[in-house]
Amino acid sequence: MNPLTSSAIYFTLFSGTMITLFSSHWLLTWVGLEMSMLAIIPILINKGNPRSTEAACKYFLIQATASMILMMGTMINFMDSGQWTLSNPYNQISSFMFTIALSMKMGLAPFHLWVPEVTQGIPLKSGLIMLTWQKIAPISIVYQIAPSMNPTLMLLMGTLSVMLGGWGGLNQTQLRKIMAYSSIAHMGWMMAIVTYNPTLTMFNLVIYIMLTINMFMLLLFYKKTSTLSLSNMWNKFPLLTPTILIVLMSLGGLPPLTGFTPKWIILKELISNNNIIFSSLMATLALLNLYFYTRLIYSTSLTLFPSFNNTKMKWQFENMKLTPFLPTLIITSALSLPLMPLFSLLN
Amino acid sequence: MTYMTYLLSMLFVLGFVGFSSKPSPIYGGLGLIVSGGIGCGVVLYFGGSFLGLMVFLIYLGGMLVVFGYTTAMATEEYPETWGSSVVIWGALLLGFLVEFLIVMFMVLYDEVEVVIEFKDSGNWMVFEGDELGLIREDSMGVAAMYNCGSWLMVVAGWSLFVSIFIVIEITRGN
Amino acid sequence: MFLVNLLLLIIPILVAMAFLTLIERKMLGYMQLRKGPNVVGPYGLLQPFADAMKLFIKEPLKPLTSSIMLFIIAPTLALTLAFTMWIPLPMPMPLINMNMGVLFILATSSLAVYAILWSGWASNSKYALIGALRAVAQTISYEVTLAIILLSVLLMNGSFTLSTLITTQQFSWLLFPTWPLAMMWFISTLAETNRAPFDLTEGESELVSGFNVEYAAGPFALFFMAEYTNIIMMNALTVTLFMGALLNPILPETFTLNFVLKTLILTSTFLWIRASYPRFRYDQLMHLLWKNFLPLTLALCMWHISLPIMTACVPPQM
Repeated sequence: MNPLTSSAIYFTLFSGTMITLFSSHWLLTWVGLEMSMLAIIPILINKGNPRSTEAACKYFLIQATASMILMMGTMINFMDSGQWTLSNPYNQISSFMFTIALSMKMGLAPFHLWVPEVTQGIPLKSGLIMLTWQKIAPISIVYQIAPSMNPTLMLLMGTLSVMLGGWGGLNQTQLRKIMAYSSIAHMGWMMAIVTYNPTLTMFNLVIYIMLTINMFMLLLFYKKTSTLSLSNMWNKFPLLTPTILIVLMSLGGLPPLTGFTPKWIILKELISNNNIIFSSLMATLALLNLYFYTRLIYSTSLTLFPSFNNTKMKWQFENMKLTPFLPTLIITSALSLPLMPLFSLLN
Repeated sequence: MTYMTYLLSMLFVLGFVGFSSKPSPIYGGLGLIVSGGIGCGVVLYFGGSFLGLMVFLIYLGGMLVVFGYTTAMATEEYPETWGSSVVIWGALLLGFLVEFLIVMFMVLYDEVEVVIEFKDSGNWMVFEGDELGLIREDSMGVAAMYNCGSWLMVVAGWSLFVSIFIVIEITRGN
Repeated sequence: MFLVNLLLLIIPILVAMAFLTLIERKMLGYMQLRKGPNVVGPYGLLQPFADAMKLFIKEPLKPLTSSIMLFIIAPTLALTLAFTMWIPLPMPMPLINMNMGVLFILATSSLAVYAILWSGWASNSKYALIGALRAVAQTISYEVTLAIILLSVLLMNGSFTLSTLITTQQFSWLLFPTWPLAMMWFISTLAETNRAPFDLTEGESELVSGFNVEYAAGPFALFFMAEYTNIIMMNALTVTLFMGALLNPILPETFTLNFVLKTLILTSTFLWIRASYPRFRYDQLMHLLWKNFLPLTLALCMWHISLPIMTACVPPQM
């Protein structure tokens, strides 16, 4: 892409989300969402690959539909209350429409089917942007209107999302698809808690974004997109194979790692709101996620790929790629559980 | 007034049913034009003459013409009309049936409210600047919107500008 | 009563249109040193009616592979729109007095493109399609300048209402202060109505007859009528915008007389131009618009926005 065009496009992408975050007017919120949606389309498209064009089309259609529904909800809200302020809608219909639109935007369970399809079609770097940055704007809106959302509905959709995110990833061998399903499951965790404690949603989002960036950076470092090719990454940079283990375990929410923190607090919050069944269901379903992460770990660091390997000694060569963020990301995504008392400051 | 609007909105939906039963793109364009025109008619009926005509001019006279132009160039030898395939015909009939049922329901249970709850957009509006004055809500409202929301205009202008770049970036070859 | 008014508008338009076809053939004839039609009736005066009789009695053709619905809709739409555009024209009394009359005319004339596009597409013939695509590209391009010119002129008028233009031009024609715009407007109307020298849709050597090759008899007559009605309408609009006639409230007939006379003069200028100039080349046509007219009109539009504000001469707004 031409540097001028690409800078304009990235600027629009970031400023779109920023406008959504900062605006207190429904119209501007919507404009921000549209801007970032429009700007990401050329980023998603990898020239010369029809699959990515298809993915971008799917993304565009879904997001445009969601924006339309959001706009409709805004209109109904305006008709009802006479104001455009981004506050909790008292109108049931518009609240419901916002719920639908925003779950479509971030890929929550009944509307999740586009996420793996789109993520699989696009380049890794675009996948990173789509699964992290593009979630911020819709979740910020959810955060602001959370008290008016239907708790039962959000809890049901969240649990469904955790279930389908775990289930869908089970038989996948493509890494981008697995990341997409993991994103669906994480969205489920965030949305299940949003009506009880929106701060936890934000907290989970931060942790999720950190872990996902880390995972994608590792994949970008190795340029791997399938489980099969993961199995000969040990000879490229052996030190990073246990890192993938740690990051994936953290993403799955295994206790001593960072990823456990939000899950822990969310479960506690749900239990204190007398949602014992749902919380135990979600905890159980997280095991599905953990299972397919474990499979990735297995092929990354526990097996040798049974094939002729010409490049066994590749690790000897000096690494030319710069990875300035990787060490920081790895440490924070592995070891921040002890910092948990600090998070009490969030409330 | 109410019944006229009611009738127009029925036709509005009919146009949408027409193109969502998926005939060839050019017939889809026809359905869109019918619905778009009628939608503007509804706005006109509520007194928003500037808004209605502006949308008509830009949407039907500008954007949809280009759409029709491109679909006409991608011409098929046997374009599908509403009558040429059982599936399309069935979808169209189903759409008509559903609309008919909803209309019947509304007529029987007197639930025409959502449609007529819009405010009249041709009102005169009091504004306070240096002096007190009356302006038309509709055409001067646009000016007022851009005056008070100048930053909104900057954002909108930037988005439009960037969308040109995006479209060119997507559609151009390597 | 409304129906009577409607008929009193439509029937004279139809008659004017009919005699325009005759006067065109006559004028072209005398300009080429020959006589026009002079057999049917005195001086050929009954020729248009004979033509109409012939066209409507003839069997309407429809190509086997055409899309019948659009094939029928398109000419009907063309004529309907051509008549619709007359509604807000003040002569001096419009049929419906609209606040947004100019906007209405612009919107309706932009819709007229669909008639051309659909007729060309529905004929399912390459000549018709290419002719239609050319015509549409030309028409929508020139519509841009038309709209911007209108905007600049209306900034001196203060509203989109056509009847206030009469008041604005009570003392001086708007032609004088805005003559560059008026020139571009006149040329743009030539292009907008697909008249010579901009009649690229029907370049005989390339396209036979343009978007209406496959049409015969009644539907063809509808297109023909729409085209000529549009020509008169455009000239009437030019007169209203730039050469407004004086309205004497005691004797409104003088206005009509004055108005019609100017319209007729402009219409015969159209015919004169047709007799005098060769056809443009397509790329030159587009360059004329996008590289000459558009920058000029945009600059003049800025001028017309800023100058009244600067000199505190803003006309009363609606």
